[in-house]
Amino acid sequence: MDDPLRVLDLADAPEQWEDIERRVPRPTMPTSSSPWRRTLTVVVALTVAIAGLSFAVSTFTSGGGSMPTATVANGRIAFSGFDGTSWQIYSVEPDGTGLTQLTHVSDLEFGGESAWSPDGKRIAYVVQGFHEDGRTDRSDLWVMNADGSDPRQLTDGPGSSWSPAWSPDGTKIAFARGEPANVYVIGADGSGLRRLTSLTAGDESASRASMGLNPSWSPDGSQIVFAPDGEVEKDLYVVNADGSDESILLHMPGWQIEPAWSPDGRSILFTSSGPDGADFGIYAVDADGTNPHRLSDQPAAQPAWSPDGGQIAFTALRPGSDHAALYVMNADGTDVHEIPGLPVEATFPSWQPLSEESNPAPSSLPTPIETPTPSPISTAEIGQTIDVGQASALLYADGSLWVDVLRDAATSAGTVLRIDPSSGEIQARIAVEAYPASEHGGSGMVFDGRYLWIVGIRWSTDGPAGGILQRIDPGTNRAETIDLPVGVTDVDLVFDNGFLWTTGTSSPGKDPRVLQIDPVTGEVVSETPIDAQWWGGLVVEDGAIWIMEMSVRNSTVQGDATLVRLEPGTGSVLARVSAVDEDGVMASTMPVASEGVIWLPTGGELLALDPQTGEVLARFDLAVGGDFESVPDGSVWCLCGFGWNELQRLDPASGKVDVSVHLDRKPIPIAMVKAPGSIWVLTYEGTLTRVVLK
Amino acid sequence: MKDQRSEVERTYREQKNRLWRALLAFTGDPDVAGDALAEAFAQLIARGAEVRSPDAWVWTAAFRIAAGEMGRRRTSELEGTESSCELPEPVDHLVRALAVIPRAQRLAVVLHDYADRPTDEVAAVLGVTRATVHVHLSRGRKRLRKLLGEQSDG
Repeated sequence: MDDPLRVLDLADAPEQWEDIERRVPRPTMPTSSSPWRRTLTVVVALTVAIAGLSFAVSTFTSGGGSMPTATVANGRIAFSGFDGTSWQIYSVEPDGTGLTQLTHVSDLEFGGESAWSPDGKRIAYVVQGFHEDGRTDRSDLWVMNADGSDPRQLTDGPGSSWSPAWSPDGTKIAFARGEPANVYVIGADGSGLRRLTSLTAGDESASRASMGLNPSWSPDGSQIVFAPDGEVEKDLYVVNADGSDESILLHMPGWQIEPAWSPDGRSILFTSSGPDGADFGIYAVDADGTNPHRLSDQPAAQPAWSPDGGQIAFTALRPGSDHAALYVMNADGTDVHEIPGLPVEATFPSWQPLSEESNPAPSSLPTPIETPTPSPISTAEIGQTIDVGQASALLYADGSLWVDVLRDAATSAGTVLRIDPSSGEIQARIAVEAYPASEHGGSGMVFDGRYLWIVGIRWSTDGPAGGILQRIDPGTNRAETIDLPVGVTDVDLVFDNGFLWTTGTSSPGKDPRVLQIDPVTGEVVSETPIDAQWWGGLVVEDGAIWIMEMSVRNSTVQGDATLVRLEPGTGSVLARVSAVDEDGVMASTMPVASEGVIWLPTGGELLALDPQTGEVLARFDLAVGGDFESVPDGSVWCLCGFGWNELQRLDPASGKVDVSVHLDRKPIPIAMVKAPGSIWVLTYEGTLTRVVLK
Repeated sequence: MKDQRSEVERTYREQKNRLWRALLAFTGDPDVAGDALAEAFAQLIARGAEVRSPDAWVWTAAFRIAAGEMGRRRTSELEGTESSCELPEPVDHLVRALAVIPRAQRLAVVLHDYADRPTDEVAAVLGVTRATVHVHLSRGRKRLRKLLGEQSDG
């Protein structure tokens, strides 16, 4: 087809110059360039002139946690490349031969940063998702073999994960996650996730960008250097591998980003914006933070050491073009040359270490691999049922199914059962004080990536004696109780932006408010009053607080519910969305939020809302009855229908229900949760039934 | 000052048709396009020497102004709005097809494929990375081809 856009040339603009000369500009001025929020954009913004390079000579003199390195040879270079259709991870010999595409992610995904394991046999990488309408979705870490085979997902939220860096002993991967971004460490097998840093500052939108921080290990594995988010200045920090002694390594005007510790431990490469913020180049600093100096005059970013420490790969715009390309230079900044023959865009280089026992690089194309998009479900069969007893909160987290079972109705105490979702076997019984009783079930329990949290009330013989949070460490199955400064809590508990959110009142019905709690310290960091008599269904997404308000007449909740957005701190209403369908019917269940969308059920429809404005992004013909949840692959599962006994999956991309399982109406299903390959349904009578998906 | 103004007028003469057409394709409304264009140039005059690259600046500014206006009006009101300006039939046909493509994809396709603006400028307007621009581009092109195919078939 000819370029269809050319027909625009048939239309001519009206003459407006006189109007322009007379016109008084509106006060809101657009800016000429957006902040360079993400590394890729940084590369873009570099002015393109590789003329008159003059090189500073790097001096690897002073020590600082240095350590003798084993003899390692330089292998292939992995990178993220764009071939005109999609972004994939590739590997290539440093001379440009043997280009191999390693991933086959869909064009709704972006294969991003990658990092080689120290033995050169595996690659950790980032897959960034996109929504159909182009908004960015969450990014997660994956690990694959050097030839692209056996891709496995390492992280599964919450929030985005990016910038993987393999520990020198190959057992752990440091990475960035969350908003504000923090450095986390996870076992290379996906076990033992923990947060290393406690960063709270930083520009919200910058940290949303799923870039930055870029942790890099010292070669002895004792320290990690990273670049925290900051809009005006970004400095380099170091932290011990156990999370202690977080301290500043280097402060200079402008941004210092993308640190990379040298294989000999003596120096750290980084990208600096230069003092005026626009002259990006590759710098080195001694590992003790002294002697920062520019390595080459070329506008460049994303430096990566060769494993033998003799060369540096980096990204820069190809001279005279708009396209990012990969370059290699000597460690002293001399002999800059482009890696030829790469896809039209190439970024995020990472260099493969080759030890003697390491496999040679692949010479042939790898076999096609599975993409991380959800596979269609052809059968859904009702499987085993286990008796757990009257229960409410239900969650799948950290590889286990967790359900809070009522232990003592008088004190509203529970026992959390930890269940193996593949066998249905009970692995642990953990006594807790919290039992968030909800008639719709399911809510009141969340996972923050490290701990399981349950909201509840502590009871004395006189009645409720204060709201509590229960924290369970999945590593030890131990529970701890944290007191909240409220008399009574509701069943709402949300994890968003690195914080826990719940609702509570001083005494029943009095001074309702939304509490924001730091899961690291257990402290309440903000309170937002709720100006409503009847409310419920707390939703927090990207810091936007929403709550359902219901009107009450004659002690009966009437059918006109409204979802309102509250201004943090003041409780002023910022936006309102009607939560009833065209027949005036509200849903019997509360909204949930997930990955940038609020899902609001009404009597007859499911609405997808913009969490900031409340704008209805989409409407789906789905009569959510009981519990429902939005799962990471973008689909929505619900207990639908009048009897809450139709287990259905909605594919928002097509707008269709593509899986439907009829459950018994008795006992009444009250809550459901998605686990890998199955759905677990909790009933009013305390049974858990597994629905096996294939 | 006089020099600057004539410099802006020169930019206006050079850019106005292409910029207005691109804004029209993006907004679907000749009046919104004209207003965004006029506002961007009025701001360019007000900013004077502060703007070092008037050409790139005015494109970015005009599209941001238009996007802001679109946000205020909401798509539903824009589509099918009666305008003071009659468009040639093939243009109208194209604009209607573009209107059903998601905004970011439409913006990327129009700025990059019609107006030949560099990827980083599109990224700056959208506030996203180059990578995201390419995603928008490939999806937008696919969808536009499909839509125009459907229209000519039917």
